[in-house]
Amino acid sequence: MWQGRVKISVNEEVAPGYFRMVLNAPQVAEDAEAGQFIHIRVNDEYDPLLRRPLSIHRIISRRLKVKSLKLPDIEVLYEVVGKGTKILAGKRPGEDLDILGPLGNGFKLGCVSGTVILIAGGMGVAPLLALAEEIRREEKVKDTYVIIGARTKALVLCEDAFRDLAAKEVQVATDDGSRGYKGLATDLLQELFSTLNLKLSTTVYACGPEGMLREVAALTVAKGVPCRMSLENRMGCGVGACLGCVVRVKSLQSGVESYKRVCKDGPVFEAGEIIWE
Amino acid sequence: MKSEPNISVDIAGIKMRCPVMVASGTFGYGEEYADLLDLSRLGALVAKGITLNPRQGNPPPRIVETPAGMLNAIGWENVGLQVFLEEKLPFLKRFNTPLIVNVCGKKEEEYVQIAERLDDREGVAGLELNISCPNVRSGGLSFGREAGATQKLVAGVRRVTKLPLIVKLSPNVTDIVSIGRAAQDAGADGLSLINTLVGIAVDIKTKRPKLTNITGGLSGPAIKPVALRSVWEVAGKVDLPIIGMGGIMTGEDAVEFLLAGATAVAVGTANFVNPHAALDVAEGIREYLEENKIQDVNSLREYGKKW
Repeated sequence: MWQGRVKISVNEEVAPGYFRMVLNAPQVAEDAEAGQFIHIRVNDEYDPLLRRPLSIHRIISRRLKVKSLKLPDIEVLYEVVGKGTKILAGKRPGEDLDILGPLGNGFKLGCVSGTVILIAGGMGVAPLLALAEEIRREEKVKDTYVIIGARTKALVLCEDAFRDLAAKEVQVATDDGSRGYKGLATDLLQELFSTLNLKLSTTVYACGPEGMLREVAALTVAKGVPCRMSLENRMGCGVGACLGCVVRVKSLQSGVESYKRVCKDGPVFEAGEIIWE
Repeated sequence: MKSEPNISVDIAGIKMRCPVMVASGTFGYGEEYADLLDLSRLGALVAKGITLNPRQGNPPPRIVETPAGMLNAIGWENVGLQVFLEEKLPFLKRFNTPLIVNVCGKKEEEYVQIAERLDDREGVAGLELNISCPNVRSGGLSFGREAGATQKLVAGVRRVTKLPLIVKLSPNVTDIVSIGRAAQDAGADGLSLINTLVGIAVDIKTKRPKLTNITGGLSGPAIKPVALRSVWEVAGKVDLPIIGMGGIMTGEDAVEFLLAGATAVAVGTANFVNPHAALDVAEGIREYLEENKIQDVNSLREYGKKW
């Protein structure tokens, strides 16, 4: 965990209202895992007061001019939704940003093998692309399927990037049918389930809006398919101290209900342990 | 050669290397921040409030950001006294920083039992009685809203502990001075001012409050003027050392509290924004003293008396 000021090298709009930002932050990138996040202070003013959590989208290598040294950079993806992200969108390359990270527990691939399905809704592609990079290095993973859901064609993010990562198949669903299947990403998951032999090792990773995650959890629990999902929540400290970002869970082992901190115990949880309000 | 100003203070017998502590509930049990700053450099650490038994807290959403502040309604989620003693205290004892334990309860007996069990516990420098939490239905603020109830509770705890006893007061009262006096009469050694201000934020899309608890406690820079007023009022009328808190983000903010009559300050919400805030604030105080050629931080609190 590191906190300090880092330089912004890229901040560009990649789709209407969606930006990608690259931060020269090797101190954070070196330890970062897919599913972790950084906590960003958008400026030095008191309004907005709190930091903004953003998933680590990619860890990219930056070649230095001197010698042939390479340093890892952090890339984040964000949607302009409020005061904080609006300020972020106005930042120029060369400006500094105060960041804290890497924070939270990532996807933790462990001994994943066989078939892997990534399902993302909207901004949910952010941590899943980092995960796809990690999965590519897993020799025991045979096939990777990617399902991306978005409101409309212009907001389908990272489709090519997932293809480049050697996904076996990338499917797209849009609410208005302007690209790919017209309907929900979870419809495509259900269909994919019907074509696969789920008795063989299959794992689902998900990130997206709550409605989608709830449905993914229902589908995977019903089929007995292991599924890990990254949750989003408003946060205070980001390090587990304030207990502001909790989610209700039921322990898969003991059945005991409690609150867990999205920032510290998560943001990645087992689909089956989350109690949806 | 220029001499370094003195920034050490004594609050009710608790000797602090600098006048800055971290406020209860904003710093967990220290573990969460230990990677980010040297806990041995803090003036004191006030642990997250503990109750006799573990508590799960309020259903989320529990926090919401507001202009220059935030509302929280955590609802005393904590591990309970036993786990605190077994798992949290050993870690906190490793640092050469006074530990003040924030004590919460629904009933007087609960405060008394916790105080009894902490009384001669190694590593505990003092107690902070939380009679000002606005986010629980019973206990907390119900003891701190009225002088008689405050006096009875503090006296009850005083009987069972020799530890320095600090009482944390709420600004959500008609007359904060009368509550401070009641605490003093019952044997308190110091006062923490202030806990959060009760507030509401509304989501106009859902037409519902943003917090499940409806109300929450407002903290952050937005409450600083109210906190300063409370400190100044009480400092002039109650003869107890005061730990001032409420929206302190910088050394300058802290100096305002010290001038208003506080002996020490606590940094709360600022920890979320800047994990290094408490140490930055302490450094800011030291710089202010140097720039203004003031030899001792303890001389600042005399100024407020003349206002």
